[in-house]
Amino acid sequence: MNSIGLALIDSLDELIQSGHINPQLAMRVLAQFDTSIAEALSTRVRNRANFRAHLDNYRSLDDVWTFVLSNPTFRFEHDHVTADKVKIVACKARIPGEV
Amino acid sequence: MANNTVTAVYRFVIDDVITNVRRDFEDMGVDETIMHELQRSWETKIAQSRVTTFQAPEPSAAVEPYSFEEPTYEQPAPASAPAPAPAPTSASAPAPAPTSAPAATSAPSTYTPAHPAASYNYRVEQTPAANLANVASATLPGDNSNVGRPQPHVAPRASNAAGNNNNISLPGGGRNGTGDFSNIPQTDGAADMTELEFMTTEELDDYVEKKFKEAREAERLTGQAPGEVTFTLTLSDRAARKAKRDGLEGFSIGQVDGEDDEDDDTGLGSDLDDSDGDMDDESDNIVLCQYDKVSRTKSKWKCVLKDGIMLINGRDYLFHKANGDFEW
Repeated sequence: MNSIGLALIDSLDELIQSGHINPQLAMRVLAQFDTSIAEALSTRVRNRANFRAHLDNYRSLDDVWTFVLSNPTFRFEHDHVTADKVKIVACKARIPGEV
Repeated sequence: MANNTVTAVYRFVIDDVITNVRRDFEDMGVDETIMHELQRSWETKIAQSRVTTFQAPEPSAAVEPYSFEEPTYEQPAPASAPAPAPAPTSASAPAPAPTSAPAATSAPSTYTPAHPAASYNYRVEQTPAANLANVASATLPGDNSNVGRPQPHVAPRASNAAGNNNNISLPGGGRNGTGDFSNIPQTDGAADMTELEFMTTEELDDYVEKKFKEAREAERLTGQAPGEVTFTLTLSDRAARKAKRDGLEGFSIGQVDGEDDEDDDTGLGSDLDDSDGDMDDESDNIVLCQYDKVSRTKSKWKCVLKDGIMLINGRDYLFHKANGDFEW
């Protein structure tokens, strides 16, 4: 889970615990979050990245690829990032026109 | 570079979510200040996580400081809506069921359609009495076709159950002392009388009414047509306490289907159920994205990813497209 989503879940959880909202409303907010972040990523982000890594492990299940990489180097346009391990979870991109 | 984008995108997402859930908050009758509180709390958490240069929201004058400790929430609903709850904090005196019936039949007509869910959205499940108070003030708002149904619908079942409980016993469970009947085989499914034995008629009424209300609420939220309500009875806390007090703790139904199989070490959660290796090795660095193409030639993998959100070394990065080359 990503940081912005986790932050939202935490906030919703606190409001549920304190009785200010009910879980149904929290689920509605999360559903809206999924829509909003997908839209933001596809329309607001324009930068490209390249990365190389050693592939430790891989899996493809129900159109979801999971890769466990070691020593990846991510190159963006102006900077680059390295790490010792990273996990990639990738869902199949929707083909335009397909529901 | 990526981090400037991250901040702008997160800003967009937060605003977009808040704008679009406003309607849901209104529909559920939740005050707007709660929504602003959600936004403030969310922004603060993102800022604290330091994944991006997100400045913590300055305490805005429009948003009143909010106390999370405050357990109750004053609903700005029409003054007629909340019925004066009869001693909602007194757990020791559950109001008798009949008092809730008149309230249930009269309450819905006083609700305005704008706040159909007025008073039970914030309910924190606590004591049976508190639940009953909620039932009394909020039973089936906006659902006039069902006014008055809960009582006639459920009461016979509850009273039958309570009335019969001396005459029914379970195979192998001759603990309830009615030895004459202890050999009657049970053919109507799993034993469901354990709770009923320990509950008074009023408690049963409360319980059934509560379940009924929950089912109605679920129906309302899912837009389902009102239909038959089914639910299962489980041992309530109170009944469990009573059972314990009466020395019936550990009371169990005799097992007639062979030996225990809980120790079966090929079941879920056993050592053998762990074939993923280090796939689930929780690394802090994670990339969530979509893939356009994944291909492999011998040990060389290539993949084309898009719309990704990544957390690397405690910072968030986003990409529109990414090409990956791995060697296995």
